[in-house]
Amino acid sequence: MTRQRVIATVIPLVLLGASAAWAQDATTGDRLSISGFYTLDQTYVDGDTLLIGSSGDQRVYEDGETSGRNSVAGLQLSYDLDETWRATIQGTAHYDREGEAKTDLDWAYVSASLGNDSTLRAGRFQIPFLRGTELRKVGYTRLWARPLMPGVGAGGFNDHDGAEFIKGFAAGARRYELQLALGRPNHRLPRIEGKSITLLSGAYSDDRLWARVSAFHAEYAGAPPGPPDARGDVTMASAEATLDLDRFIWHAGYVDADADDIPDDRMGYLSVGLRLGRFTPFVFGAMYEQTFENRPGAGRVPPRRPAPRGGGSGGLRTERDSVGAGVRWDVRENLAVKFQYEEVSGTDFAPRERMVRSVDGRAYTITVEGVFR
Amino acid sequence: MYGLLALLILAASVAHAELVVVVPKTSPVESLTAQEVRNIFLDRKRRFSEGTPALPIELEDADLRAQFYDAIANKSTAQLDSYWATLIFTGKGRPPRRFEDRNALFGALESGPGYITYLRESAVDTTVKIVFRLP
Repeated sequence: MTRQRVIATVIPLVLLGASAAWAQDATTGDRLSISGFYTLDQTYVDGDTLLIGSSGDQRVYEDGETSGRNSVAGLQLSYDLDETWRATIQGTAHYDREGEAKTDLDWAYVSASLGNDSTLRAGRFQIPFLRGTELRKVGYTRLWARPLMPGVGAGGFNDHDGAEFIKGFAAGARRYELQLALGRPNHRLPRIEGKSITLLSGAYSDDRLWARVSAFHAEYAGAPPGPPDARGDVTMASAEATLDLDRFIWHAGYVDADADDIPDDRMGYLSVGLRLGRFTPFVFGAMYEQTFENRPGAGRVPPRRPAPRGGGSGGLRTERDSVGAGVRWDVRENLAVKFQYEEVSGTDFAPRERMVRSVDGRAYTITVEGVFR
Repeated sequence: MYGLLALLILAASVAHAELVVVVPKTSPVESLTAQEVRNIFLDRKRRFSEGTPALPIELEDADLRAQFYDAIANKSTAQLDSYWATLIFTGKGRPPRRFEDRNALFGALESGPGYITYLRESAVDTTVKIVFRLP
């Protein structure tokens, strides 16, 4: 086992142990809540394979590589200031694309319960676009071993600093929720500076169905290859649903985006699982496509290479398709083990749909995932 | 054969009939519907219909919990854990606070009229009133 693989396994375990021990001591306070989550991952690939990571980064695993770099550990501290106000911070430790240990402050906000099922909160939030973007690091909440959508958030914007207003309506078994977010988004590429974001999201849930549609508009500056003060904007829309029908659980989602200078994204997925006691076998298919458009009159040329978040290289359109199957085993309360097989193909296209690169690979993954509270 | 089947059905219904939802004697709440109980314990509704904040609490008892949530929400323990993880880590909700034993649970119930919990009927005493019986 290489030094990097040892580190990739040991760091999340140490963080997990430390946070669990801390939780044992700290939960004695009535006002303080401590929760955490973890993913311990081992993945083997056969063929160069572009894989989506729980931490948000995606990278090409080399043929024959075995890696635990998709492991993540996270901790949330939430403190009730009084009956109305609460302060919450949530961070994670994981590995970046180069395999270096990294920590992120994902959520940090104060919230006020205004009564009548209304909440106002201010601070830093993950963008509530898809569950796969909001909860991509909390592997326990999903059926699969990895997120099905790339960890590029919404147009590359993963979180924002600002304010959110959430209003719920309960009518019998039905619940509706509206969420409005305003603020300044943070792009995963440091050279792109987010200027503003407006997001509106509506969700519906009942005994069997959960569904959400979201739309957002963000403005930014500094996208290459333009000058640092060049401004652009992105408009995205998403729809996502989970249907629990008898023992079958269906997941589907779709995203479309129109952006200046950064790529246009189009992503979708479909999955079905069958609950058999503690075991849930599943199959899934997912696709995403990024297009680098040359805007007439913009005075700019398309980048020679896609931005790293595209994952591919050398083309003006990048596609990635994956199909897979696996099983989730709920071992006990708050602990799941997942086995997953996935076939991934990626293709880069130059203008006139000339294919410039194609990679195909297979990934075999086992994860141990859990939460504590 | 039919006798055995009838006995099993009877046993199953008796097992559910043991569970009741209770509030402190001081609470203005007199009764709840199954849907209200479900919404309160899944953090989908945070107030009783007359306006008092609803504060659900529960015992650290895995069997009791599994029986209760299966009955009110048709959710397994794994489904429920995943549901709470989704709410907790998006900051949109929290599960009922848990208490290690009955004394601690009843101590909390006595501390405010907004508290609500579920129990086996045999554990009910005069400090609380039953507002819902599981069918």
